[in-house]
Amino acid sequence: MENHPPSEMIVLLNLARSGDQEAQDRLFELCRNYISIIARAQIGTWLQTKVDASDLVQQTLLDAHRGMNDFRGASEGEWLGWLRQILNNNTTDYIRKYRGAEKRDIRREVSIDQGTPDNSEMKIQLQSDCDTPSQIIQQREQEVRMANAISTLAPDYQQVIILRNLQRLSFNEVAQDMDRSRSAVQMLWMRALKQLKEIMDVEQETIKDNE
Amino acid sequence: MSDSEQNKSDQNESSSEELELFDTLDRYVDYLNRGDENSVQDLSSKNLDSSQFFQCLNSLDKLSPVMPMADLIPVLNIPENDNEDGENNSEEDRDEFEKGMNQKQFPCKFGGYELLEEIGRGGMGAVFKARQTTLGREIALKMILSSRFASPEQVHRFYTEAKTAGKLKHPHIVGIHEVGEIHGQHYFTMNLVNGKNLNQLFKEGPVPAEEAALILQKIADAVHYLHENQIIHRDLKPSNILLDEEGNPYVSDFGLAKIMDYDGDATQSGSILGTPSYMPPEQAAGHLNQISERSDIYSLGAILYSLLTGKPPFSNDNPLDTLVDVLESEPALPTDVVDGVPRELSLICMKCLEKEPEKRYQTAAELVADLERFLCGDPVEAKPVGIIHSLHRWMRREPALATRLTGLVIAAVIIQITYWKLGTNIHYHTRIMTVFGCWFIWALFCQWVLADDRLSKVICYLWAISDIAFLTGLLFITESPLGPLLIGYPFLIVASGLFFDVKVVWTSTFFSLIGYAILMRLRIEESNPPQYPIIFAAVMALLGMVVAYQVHRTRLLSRYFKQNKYSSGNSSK
Repeated sequence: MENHPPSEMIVLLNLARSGDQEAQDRLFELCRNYISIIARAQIGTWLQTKVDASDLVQQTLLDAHRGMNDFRGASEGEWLGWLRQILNNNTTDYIRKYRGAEKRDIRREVSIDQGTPDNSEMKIQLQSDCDTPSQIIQQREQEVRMANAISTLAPDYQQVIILRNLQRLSFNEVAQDMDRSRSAVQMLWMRALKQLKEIMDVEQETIKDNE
Repeated sequence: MSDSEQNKSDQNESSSEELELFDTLDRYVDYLNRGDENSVQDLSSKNLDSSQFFQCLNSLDKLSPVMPMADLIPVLNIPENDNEDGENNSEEDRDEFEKGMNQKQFPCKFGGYELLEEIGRGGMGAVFKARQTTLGREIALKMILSSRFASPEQVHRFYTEAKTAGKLKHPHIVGIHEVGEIHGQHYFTMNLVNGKNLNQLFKEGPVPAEEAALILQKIADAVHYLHENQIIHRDLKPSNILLDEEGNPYVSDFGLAKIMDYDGDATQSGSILGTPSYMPPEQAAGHLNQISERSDIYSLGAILYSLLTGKPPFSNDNPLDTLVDVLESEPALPTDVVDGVPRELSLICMKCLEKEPEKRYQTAAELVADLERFLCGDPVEAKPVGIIHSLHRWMRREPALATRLTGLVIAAVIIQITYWKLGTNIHYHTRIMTVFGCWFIWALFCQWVLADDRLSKVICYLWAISDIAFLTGLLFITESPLGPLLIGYPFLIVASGLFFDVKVVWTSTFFSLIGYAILMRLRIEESNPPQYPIIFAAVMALLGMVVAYQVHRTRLLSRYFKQNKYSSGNSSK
């Protein structure tokens, strides 16, 4: 399933819109890894204790499924951007919910609240991709492929990539979050990267072959 | 595998090559996270054999939901023991900040920043030079007046736009680092460009052609990059182009200004606020749905024009006059305004300034390429316009002269043809043609004086009055019956409306009535039956009133926009 040619998503999208249930299922399957990787990066470690990323993914795909008719775009970029936007909204809802209800229980959340630009900044960070459709036109197939590649990695490889590259944390923070030494996470990161590179290389070649 | 085992095997693996690769990749990620495009480029060009890794890191970076902002890290790292009195702290900070702002005491603490000095002010808010305390770097911080946001929705859009802007990386675009809210003040931070803006550059006089072309080429390249990212700047003007100490231009304020300007109740008027000198006609006309990448091309042309001649293509004291000019008139060719501007560059400039988007360069890249050709001395793509088009341009550039000359030529040609066909008295014909000739020359002379700013007010009156005098003289020597020829008077009243000055219209109406009265006195046979001239005069006066009223309404609008411009300027003070 990793080696889908770029147009497959559009084909499925069109079929799904005309009411083909099978195509719709397949379409969501194609996007699941993409959404799930971003969701994991978005909720960050400070919420992980409370929310399971898979709940968020489930909710997002469900919303997308229900709102399929509201989607007006035509390109892959718009489709993925739309999914990302639903994900963003859901994430914001989750954060609001857990912040509101259980603020005092989670120490780190309080510490975030006390920070200076805090609230708004956290929200912005999460809303970073609610761009207007016209701004989302950039191709995102490469991103989908990358998300699929990440999903095939071992769990600790996945985690180090998400923390370092997607959440943009420093190695000290990554080490803290993963509860390992700094040099250990650095090595872990290097291996994860090498594997990613290999997967992507193979990907690239099979795509070329297909063409 | 436990941690210690892993460490051991890691150590065995890590040859010096391995360490080097790690170092390179780590640095690359740091640059990406920081949004430092230059260093990213630099590093990847030096390590070509790692390009596949870089590609991987790039796509990972695109997946990231977090914006490249190292600035978020300190927020997440606030020591926990600060929590107890955190609330008080921020309140104290806030008081201190407000006190500092009111008394303009610098440095003034603002969240994680230290405001060092105020470096600018505009309708949107104030810009400060600030130091980011955590990283020790100096940045520019723009604080948005909260009153500029009409609704939470707008605040949201502002952040969304800032996010988009934050992703842009180009050597000639001012990078946006962070956007947020401290003490209820929305702000964003961007690269600090030490130097002046483009406005100050050409205020000192026209910029040498080559230098102007070089600067514009860089700006156009940045604009092309914006277009590639689906962003239309919409507000390109010299004050939005910053220059560093070496004179490199940086495009700033894209996308952000437009939220402030287009929303709220004053939807349309908002888009006219500020100077319309650099605004493309489609935007000035309020056809917001027609705004495209080619609208930015127009603004680029207007900037080039300013660089070459020292002033924008259209600049009146009154924004509405400028607006009308943008819509309807043509600027003088840069070559004609300043000696020594190369013809090719002038052509490039005028191609950008075409009223119809289809006639301009279709992409910023085309403009960049043509400027390149000019700089290399190759023939440029921009060609001189055809005769009909240049005639059209001339009519837009000098409407007062064009209408008169057209009227005169048509009348003269008709008379000449009649003369050939019917062969009237030669002396009579010569007299008529002489008056036409004098009138023609006088019109040219008036247009020539009109270009002089000091005399232009007087010449409007003089021109309007002399036209009436010529007409009266002409009608006086014309053989009876005058009949429909009297239409010349109403025409002159309407034409005087083209000066957009109520007083000129009144003057013109008044003198038309006088001229008509004199004519009727001298040619008593024409005033029969006697009630006709009275009806004619009354209608003429009425016509004058209607024209004056319409000009007056235009003036009112114009004053309204002028006031708006000032009040928006004042509100920020």
